[in-house]
Amino acid sequence: MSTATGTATETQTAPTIAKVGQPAPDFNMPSTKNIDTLAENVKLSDYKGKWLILLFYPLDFTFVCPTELIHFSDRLDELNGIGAEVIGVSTDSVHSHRAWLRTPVDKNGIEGVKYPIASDVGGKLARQYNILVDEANIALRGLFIIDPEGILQYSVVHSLNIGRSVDETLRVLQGLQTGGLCAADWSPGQENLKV
Amino acid sequence: MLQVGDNAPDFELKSHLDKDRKVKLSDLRGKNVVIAFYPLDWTPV
Repeated sequence: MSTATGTATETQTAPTIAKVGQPAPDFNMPSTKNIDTLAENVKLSDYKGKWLILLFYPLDFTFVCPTELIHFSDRLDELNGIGAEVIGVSTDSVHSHRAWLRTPVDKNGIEGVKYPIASDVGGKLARQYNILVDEANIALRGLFIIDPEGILQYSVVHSLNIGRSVDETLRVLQGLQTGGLCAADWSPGQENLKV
Repeated sequence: MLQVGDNAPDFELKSHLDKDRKVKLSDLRGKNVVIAFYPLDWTPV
């Protein structure tokens, strides 16, 4: 039973459109976490206490995407090493994701990618991040960092032609983790600004 | 809501560079334009 005290801690709810500084939109999507059964979903709540990188891309079996997905996978140990997890997301089905994950890299596949690829069929989550291209029902190249409390901390969106940078993602993530003020072009190891 | 891939909304704003002339996006057609928002003047970052 709830009572309206007005002094109780209010739980912040996620806004309809994702915004940096606000709780990230909740999700529960089919994924390739269990590539054999495809029965294991990924949920935002699974990542409480960790930094989460959501890596949206337009379509399975296309050209820029595999280089990005593979680069993030190649450097997953570095990301995991600082407490971050990655989920790839597109509007394709998990069956398509699985087929792509089972296609060798030299045949334009992403075999060996080590983090789960989730399926945002219908584009609900992509729309909440304002990256759904409606006519095509595909997501733009959006990358979002959610902190261990579930707050969206970083958002970058590229047009379809331009791949994202793992280096920049690591730099921003490490900057966020300092919890302090990072000057322009701050790089890991440098001090925070003092007020 | 504005999205990557859309036409950027035109604007005309005063700036410190030339107080008699406003800066207008459509005057910069043909160039790439970087717009960097920041929170507040006189703060540290």
